[in-house]
Amino acid sequence: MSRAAGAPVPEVPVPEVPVPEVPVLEVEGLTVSFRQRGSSRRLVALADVDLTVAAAESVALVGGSGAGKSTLARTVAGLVQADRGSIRLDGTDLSGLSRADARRRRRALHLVFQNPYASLPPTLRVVDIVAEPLVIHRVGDREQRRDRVEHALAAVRLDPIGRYLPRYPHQLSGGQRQRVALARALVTRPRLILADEPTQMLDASLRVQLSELLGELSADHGLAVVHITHDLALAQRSCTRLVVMQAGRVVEDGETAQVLGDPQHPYTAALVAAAAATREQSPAPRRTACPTSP
Amino acid sequence: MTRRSRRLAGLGLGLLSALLLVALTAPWLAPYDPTVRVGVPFARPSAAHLLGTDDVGKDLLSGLIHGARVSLLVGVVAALSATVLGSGVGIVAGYARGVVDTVAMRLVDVVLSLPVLPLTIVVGVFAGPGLRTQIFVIAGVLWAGMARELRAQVLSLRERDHLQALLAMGARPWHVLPRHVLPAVAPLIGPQFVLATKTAILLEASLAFLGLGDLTRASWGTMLSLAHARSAFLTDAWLWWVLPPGLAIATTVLAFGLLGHVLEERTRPGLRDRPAAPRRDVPVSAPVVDTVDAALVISQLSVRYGDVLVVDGVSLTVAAGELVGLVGESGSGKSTIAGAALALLPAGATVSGGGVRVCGQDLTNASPAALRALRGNRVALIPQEANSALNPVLTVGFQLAETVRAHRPVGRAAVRARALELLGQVGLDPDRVGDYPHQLSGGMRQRVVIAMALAGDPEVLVADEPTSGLDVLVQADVLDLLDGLRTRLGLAMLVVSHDLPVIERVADRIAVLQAGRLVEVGDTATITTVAAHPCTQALLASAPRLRLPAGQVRR
Repeated sequence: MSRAAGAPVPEVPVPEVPVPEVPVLEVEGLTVSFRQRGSSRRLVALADVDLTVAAAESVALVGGSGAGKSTLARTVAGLVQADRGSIRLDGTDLSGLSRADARRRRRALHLVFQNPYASLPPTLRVVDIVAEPLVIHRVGDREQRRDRVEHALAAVRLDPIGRYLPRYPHQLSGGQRQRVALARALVTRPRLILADEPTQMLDASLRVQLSELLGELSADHGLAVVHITHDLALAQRSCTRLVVMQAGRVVEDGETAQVLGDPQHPYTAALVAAAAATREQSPAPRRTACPTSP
Repeated sequence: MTRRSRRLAGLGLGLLSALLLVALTAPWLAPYDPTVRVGVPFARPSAAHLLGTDDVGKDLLSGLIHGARVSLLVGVVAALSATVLGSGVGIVAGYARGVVDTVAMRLVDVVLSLPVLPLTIVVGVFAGPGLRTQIFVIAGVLWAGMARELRAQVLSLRERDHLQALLAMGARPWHVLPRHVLPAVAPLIGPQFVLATKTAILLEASLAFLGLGDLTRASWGTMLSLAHARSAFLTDAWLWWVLPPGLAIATTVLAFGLLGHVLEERTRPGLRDRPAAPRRDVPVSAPVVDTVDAALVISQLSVRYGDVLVVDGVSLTVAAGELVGLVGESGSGKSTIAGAALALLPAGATVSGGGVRVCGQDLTNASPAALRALRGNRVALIPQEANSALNPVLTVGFQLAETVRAHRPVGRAAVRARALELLGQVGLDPDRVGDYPHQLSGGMRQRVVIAMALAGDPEVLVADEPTSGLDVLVQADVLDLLDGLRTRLGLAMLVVSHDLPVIERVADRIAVLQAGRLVEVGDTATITTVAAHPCTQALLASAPRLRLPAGQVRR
């Protein structure tokens, strides 16, 4: 695995390790349903979903509310039990493992939540928040943990690190909090990051910064990133692939440019049309991070 | 910590340490041995016996001082056991859920459904009088309420993002419970413990009063019991026999109460200090002034929270039939201005300059009655979160009807007709009138909230981030609806948003706010193409836009 953090961003984003043949995440035929209160019928949240994400790939998962995007991420992260289907992390099927083994395997992935105001424990300082996954999995001693925390904070560009370490979440802005959440995700050097609308609660300028940061992390560290969003423009900027979900199903999956340029499914077409209806930018944008821009 | 709470804490701590000191030093402090006859029976207060003597001639002051030991001991030990047991059961039940939860909660139900006093008496009589019995009985009845309270807290805490995040990281219960659950419920356990101590001391007094205390180690309750048995209430002996132990109990309870209050503040860092948002340096230039006479006129408005100026001399007008977008980053004061347009500012915020006029009427100096008449009828608000703006246990029809009735005293049929008309105006199927909010999608809920804002036929509509949290397609629908409404009904509409590309689709004019100041106002086309102010340019540049290959059909 590559060094998780700290190294200066290389000019050309080349993964430091050769891309392994096995995809980081393979989801096959995943079906999840919930019991509805006061009714014997079950609400199907995911119906036979397939998704494959390779290392150094950043996939945008888009769709309306209720499409099952979050459920997919939460099921992969082990927060929701699946009815059927398999989840393979680095080639290992999690459903065949004992709970303890599956838990250990899931160290290779990390879930980043939508609301940075709620996803950080309010009573801990940044240094302890970021170190938490290491404490949970008993990684390293105090010194080593501290070292990795500082690397992770550097990777998410929280600078100067010393100023942020002793702070509490309520002393940080929304963007800073989400960076702390991302640092916490990176500290175990995971293979896969599932980010559930991480930019939804942030100002527009921060959204771009943060989603570009996700894209960069993916490219620099060979991370597989699943970026849930409903902002197609963000997806276009920072993601290599676009997966569209509707009503618990994947309706379209392809290269970002290809899907946006020539949507096959009517729902994708409607999404693209709605997003494009906001006035088109005539001058070239200041920064371009999207690998698919013309 | 504020000065006031520091002073209260000091008072509570002072009282409590004084009581503790008295209890600890009782053998030396008390002038006599409280178990020995030292004077004549029923002596009135004198220099030798400051509080007089009881029926056999024991010194009452010494009894009071020694009583502190017993009362505090029983109270604190019983409360501590109840707290440990109750929080333990509550936290485990709430965290584990499932069978553990069911069993524990049924047990709690049983304990709670038994009447406390008869139960304590029965158990007390069986176990025989004594301190141990008292502690056992008091803890046995107090833990259940606490368990229930904490279980509810932990259940909801478990669903919070930061605990879900821990579970997603693979954390085990022994990591999550002490590090995250316990600190989070500690603010609740603190006051609960205080409350339990208070109740325990009172219960001890009752038990002792009923003769279940240890007569050889008299507590304040035992003193009261004896006073009652010797008819002190009928003579003026109550002044020195009943009042002092009564006051001692009250003081102890008060001291615990004050301490619990401060405990709660300390365990929540967010309550303690909330640094003011950093104010970026705004280039000092003449504030942009917007002066057209219109339905909504905000003139030179300044609002401050304590020492922090959050809105600084903002002037903005919205004419009938006009849609003005108010944009800016979070913390720029947008929502404060929206609130000020209805004279609805959060606690702690004050208008420190300028004012707001709605349809010619000044809101700044209006009486509460005048404001009530104005709100809803002249100016209405579409709140940010449709989900929390609706009552989850009432149908949308009922809530709409309620709003209609609040504005006009009309008959039931007319109210219903109006509610249906409003639903039609916002493009909702009238069949939805009987639905509860959870049966509607986010976009539909937002429509209901818009319909409620329209109920009083206002001339000015203020919308605070009406599309945040909705997905792209629904967002477009809601904006189109707002756009259509203002044209059809001739509304003056002020729409607050942090998303410039979203609002520029429908706005006639756009006002850009930065750090409480209006930095630019102008036609949408002008703002978005030849924006002069760096902040506007930044907002424009930062907002990502979808770029499609040329020639693609849109809309």
